[in-house]
Amino acid sequence: MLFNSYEFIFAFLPFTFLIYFYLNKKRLTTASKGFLVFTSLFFYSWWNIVYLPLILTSMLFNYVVGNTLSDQYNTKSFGFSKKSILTFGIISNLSLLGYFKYSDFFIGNLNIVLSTHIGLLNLALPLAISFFTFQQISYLVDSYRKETKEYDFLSYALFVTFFPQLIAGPIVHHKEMMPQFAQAKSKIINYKNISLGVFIFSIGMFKKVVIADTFATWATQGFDVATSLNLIEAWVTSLSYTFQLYFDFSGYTDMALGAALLFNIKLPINFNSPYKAINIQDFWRRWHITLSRFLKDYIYIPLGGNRKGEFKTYNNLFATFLIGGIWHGAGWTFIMWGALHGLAIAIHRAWQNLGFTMQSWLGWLITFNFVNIAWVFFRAKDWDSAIKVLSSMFSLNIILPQEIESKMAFLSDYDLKFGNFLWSVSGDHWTIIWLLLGFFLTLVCRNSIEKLNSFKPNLLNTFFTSLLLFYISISMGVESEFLYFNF
Amino acid sequence: MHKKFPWVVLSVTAMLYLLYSYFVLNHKILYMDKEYPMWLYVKQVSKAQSSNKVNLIILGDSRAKAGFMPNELPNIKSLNLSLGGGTPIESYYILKSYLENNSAPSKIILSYVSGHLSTLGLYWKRTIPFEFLDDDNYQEIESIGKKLNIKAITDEEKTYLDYKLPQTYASNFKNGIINMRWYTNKNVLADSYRTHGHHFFGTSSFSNGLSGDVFKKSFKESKIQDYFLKKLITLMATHNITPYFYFMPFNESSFKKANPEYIQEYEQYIINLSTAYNINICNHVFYMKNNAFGDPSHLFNGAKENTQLMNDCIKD
Repeated sequence: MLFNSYEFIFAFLPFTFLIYFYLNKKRLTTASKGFLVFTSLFFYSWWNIVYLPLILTSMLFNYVVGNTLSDQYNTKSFGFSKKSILTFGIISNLSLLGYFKYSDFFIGNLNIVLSTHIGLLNLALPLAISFFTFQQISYLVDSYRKETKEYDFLSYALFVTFFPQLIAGPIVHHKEMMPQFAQAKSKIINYKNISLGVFIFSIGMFKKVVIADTFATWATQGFDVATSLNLIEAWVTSLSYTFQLYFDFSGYTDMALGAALLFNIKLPINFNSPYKAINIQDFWRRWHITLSRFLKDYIYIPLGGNRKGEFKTYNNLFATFLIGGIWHGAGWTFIMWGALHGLAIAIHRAWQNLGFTMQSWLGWLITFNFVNIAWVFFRAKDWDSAIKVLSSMFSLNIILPQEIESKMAFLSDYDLKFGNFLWSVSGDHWTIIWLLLGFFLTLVCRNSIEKLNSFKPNLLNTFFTSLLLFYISISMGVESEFLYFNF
Repeated sequence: MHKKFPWVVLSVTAMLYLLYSYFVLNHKILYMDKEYPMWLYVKQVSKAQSSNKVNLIILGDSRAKAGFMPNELPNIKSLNLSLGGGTPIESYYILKSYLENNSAPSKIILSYVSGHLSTLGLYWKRTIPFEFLDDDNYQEIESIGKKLNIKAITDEEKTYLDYKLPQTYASNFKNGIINMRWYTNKNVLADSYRTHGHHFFGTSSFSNGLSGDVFKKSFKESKIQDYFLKKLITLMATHNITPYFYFMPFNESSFKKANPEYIQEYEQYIINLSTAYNINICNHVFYMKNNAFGDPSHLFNGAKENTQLMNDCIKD
């Protein structure tokens, strides 16, 4: 079920909210928790019920392994060390993810390298598998580190399946969620949280339905439909995707935060104006924050972090981002994207270590353009599409708007042509206006979390929220999936 | 304040939505694209009772709408009830409605470019959203479409009823507001009454661009358009109306690049129809000079000359 669907907004969310708090009011707290788990699983199964057993088995397995890792059990009496149980748990989780996500990629490459003809499995990627797998791996590691407390299976199931964050994060820690679910005050309707939830949910939905889906048109045309692009079209394509991805994913996260707030649960923030970043490290402190946190805590630091010398630190940084790239998808383009970011962050570290500095505006310019160019690999469905867009971005195939021909006809002498300069991406002058708006919103305006933190239920915010909701309501004709549902 | 906030927000949103719904469902002329007022004119004329007997009606598509100028024939009372994107489906219901309210004209000229005889046309994009027909007409079309297994109808997961939801008009509404269409639309409607249904699309003094015909390799009539074209001709026969078919000109550039086999198949279809239903064919597919056209498909400077050619055809 999509957050931006009628069934979610008008049926699922109000029904779940009302029944959950009704059960709590009647002091049926276990029933309310069970109900929330049930509705979350229903929310998950709406997409494809076939994968319901998968998530249930995964939860049960990790709950058992996690409990075994806790202090309560002396695993030595079973003949296994806790470390071997943890390794077993992590490998099992990664195997499940690997089977569904990477089998065909592996087989395809094997076929190329060994000239074999092994048939692809063509498995559908179970929704949210990357997210719930990572979340549960973190639970196992935390249990091993003695950072978790004992909870019953129902509470654990709620931690994994809580519908606002189930499909595409934020990737939450056991320790930041479980106490919230247990708090007595979270079981009573809190009007302040409802106000905040409605406010941030509206902003998130507007970002998705109105802004991201608008940019999606030009990005899709440029990446998937056009066979060739001129220079302006190529930049419009890449920038459209850069803005689409941000507004889509941060929109989803805002909606998740908003929906969770209705149930008095505060999810961690995932975005903090990433395109304002003035260096690549700054970018990763602002983009998909909970994934960065996961990669740092569960990959970079276990690999040794920066504790084993400078050369090993560079290796660890590069490896962490490479794994981050692979996590996003099974394809060489994702690996390239991860490698580029790994390389960039290593270069940034070297730059800092050498004591060099840079003006903020130049840092921003380099960072933004690097991120924008790297997204081309992230978005392109194959290598050829990525090269098509990138080579056009740096080509001399320039077509200028027909409208300026009369004033700038002399440019024809320099081999510049005039015509429909955005034809291949189905764009027009509105495309340029939208891109400028994209820059304005991401670089000048306060982000949704900053707005949330200073929120007051005054007349201005009432009108602003109503206007957003109204505009969303008339723009919701076609449901479109969130981009991160694919990862 | 926090307690009130969600309720006030929901109430204001609901109010705005109700206002919007009322507006988009009842005032389409204020925000739809400029085809809407042209279709509205045809709808209004076909439903109105007029004391003036009309001798000649043109039924067809945008090329016919641009190519026949009723005001150029002062001695013949004529109406151009063609539609941009019009097909025999719409023409049938226009005539049916017209005949229910008015006396029959003595002659009707039909004129459709091949594309409007080989596809469902703009049924989902104009005929339904413009609410051009009555509900029972839509029901009839959809049931005939299903009977004839027309994929453009059977494969759609929607019906005409979906277009009664205000949601459907959101992008038109937004575009209408941004482009301030109300002013243009009111003028187009007034112009349609003044010109008796004629409208110029492209208004350049010359067009050597290629029309869609150039890219067609062969012609095959759509079963549903064939069905309604025959139904339309039968309706004319029952009212003693003499039917004519007129091939609108291509521009020279397009004609010279068009596939001769496709043109031959298109012509042959009309010839076969005329043999079976006794239609007078005015001409062959032909071209006029590029400077007669205002865009690759539609006449501009050549419209008067073309009107005379049409007039010559129907002279007794």
